[in-house]
Amino acid sequence: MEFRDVHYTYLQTGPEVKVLKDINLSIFSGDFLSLIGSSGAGKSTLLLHLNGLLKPTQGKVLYKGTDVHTKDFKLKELRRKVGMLFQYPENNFFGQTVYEDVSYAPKNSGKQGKDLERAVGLALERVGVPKNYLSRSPFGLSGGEKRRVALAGVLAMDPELLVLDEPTAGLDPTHRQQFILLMQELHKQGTTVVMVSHEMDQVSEIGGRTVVLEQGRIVAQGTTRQVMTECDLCNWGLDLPEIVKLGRSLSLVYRGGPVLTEAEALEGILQQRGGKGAK
Amino acid sequence: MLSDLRVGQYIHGKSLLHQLDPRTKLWCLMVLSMASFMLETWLGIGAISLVLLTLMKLSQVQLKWHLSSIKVIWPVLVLTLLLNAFSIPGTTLFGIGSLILTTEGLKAGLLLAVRIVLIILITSLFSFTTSPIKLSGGVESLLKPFNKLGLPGAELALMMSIALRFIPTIVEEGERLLRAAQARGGDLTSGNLLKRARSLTPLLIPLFLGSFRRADELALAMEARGYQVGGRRTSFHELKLQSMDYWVLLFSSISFLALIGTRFI
Repeated sequence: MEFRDVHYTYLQTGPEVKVLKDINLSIFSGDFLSLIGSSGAGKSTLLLHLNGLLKPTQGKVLYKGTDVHTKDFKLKELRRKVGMLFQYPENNFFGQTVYEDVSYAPKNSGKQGKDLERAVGLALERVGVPKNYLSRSPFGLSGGEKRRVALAGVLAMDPELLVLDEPTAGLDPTHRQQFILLMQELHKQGTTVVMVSHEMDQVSEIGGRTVVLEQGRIVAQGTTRQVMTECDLCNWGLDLPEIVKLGRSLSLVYRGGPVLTEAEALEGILQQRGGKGAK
Repeated sequence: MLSDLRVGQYIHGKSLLHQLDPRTKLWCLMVLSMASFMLETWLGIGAISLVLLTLMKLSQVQLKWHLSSIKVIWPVLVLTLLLNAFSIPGTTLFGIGSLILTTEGLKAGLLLAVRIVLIILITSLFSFTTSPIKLSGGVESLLKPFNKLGLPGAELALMMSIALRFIPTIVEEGERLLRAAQARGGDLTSGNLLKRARSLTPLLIPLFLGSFRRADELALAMEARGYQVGGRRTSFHELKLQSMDYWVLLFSSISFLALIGTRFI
């Protein structure tokens, strides 16, 4: 499955604020794309275009080569394939029980009876929520559990593309780590992931590709390695990942280039020491 | 969609109307709305529309904002017109079965619809030019005489300003929930009214929960900053009537008295 050639231009809301300008972006099947940028750069607005919730004022959003805003295109089909987890999704629970909430999406796509139960069970299993939670109220769970149930509600549609808007905001470090591992696991299983994040350390550990948005424009895009180590993120109100900073100040080298992740930094340090020892 | 709702919104500006004291404007709001219901001739309605148009021009608020507030009540207007036109007995214009359209009914319906438009325009003009802070200040000061009778004027004004303040927030929240539902395949825009209403019910739970949570947080934040019911509070912006206010009050009151006078002569 392929999600290809997404291309948007201009968006005007209310008193003519141009939130997105000349956005040219492709998302390929199997990508793990991180979207970074300072607050108000248009990241969330960009995400809302991915499943046709917003219509570009100029330009086109294409899914497998077809414009999603033409009459023949079934937006509902697209929304079934693009799972979107909004910011603070625990405020958007629709059901009085975990089961009811997670089953909302598959029910909408026509699943019934055993099929529905299986979809809900599988989704909860993927996020690691125990079965005995099914009849509990989602509002009474802990912060980390709520977030995972919300993700299950999206995964229950079995989306090809998973869109996440700051999925770890407001979580404690342990849950944050768990959540990232969970997303990496989903990615490995073949889901394409697009994620907005403010945490550079997270982005650098994940790798994949990175797009930098600044005042509605894409100012940099490429592999996370390129963006993090070659661009000057400070210009756009962003901070470098701690590891990259450390690597710079210690002039660590990994395979002939600057380091990006913890593991690479470790390797770099060992190499540096080893090299000196040999001399 | 929902964000098109302009009723109760304040538009920042520096026009004459923005500068008037909120109490003056509240008085004018009352006078104008009562006048539009007291005047029964088309001449009178025309006169009051002219006054309103002048005020709208003076407010320096763009015309499209005024129009957008009418857009919301469009169905109500049509319903008013039709109900009146078909229910009031009189000379038959034409009839379909037992439904009879009368000239009198059409006239009455039209008059009522125009009056509703006038009231909406007057009210939205008031809210466009009066910031919520000034509005609640004005209400508080007007209610002050009733304090002795045990009416908590300051608290009522506070309630009102909080309610006004949270309209846009709740609209925004509703929109967010709609999006979340649509993103999960919720079909909210097709089907008949009943079906649509049913598909919206799940959204009410998080909407209410969000409101309660917000109210809780607000109460806590207010107490943390020393708010007390019945406490004596001073105001940063003291309301004081300017000479312009006195002129407007005088003029509007005289016109209003004159209008009442003509009804009894």
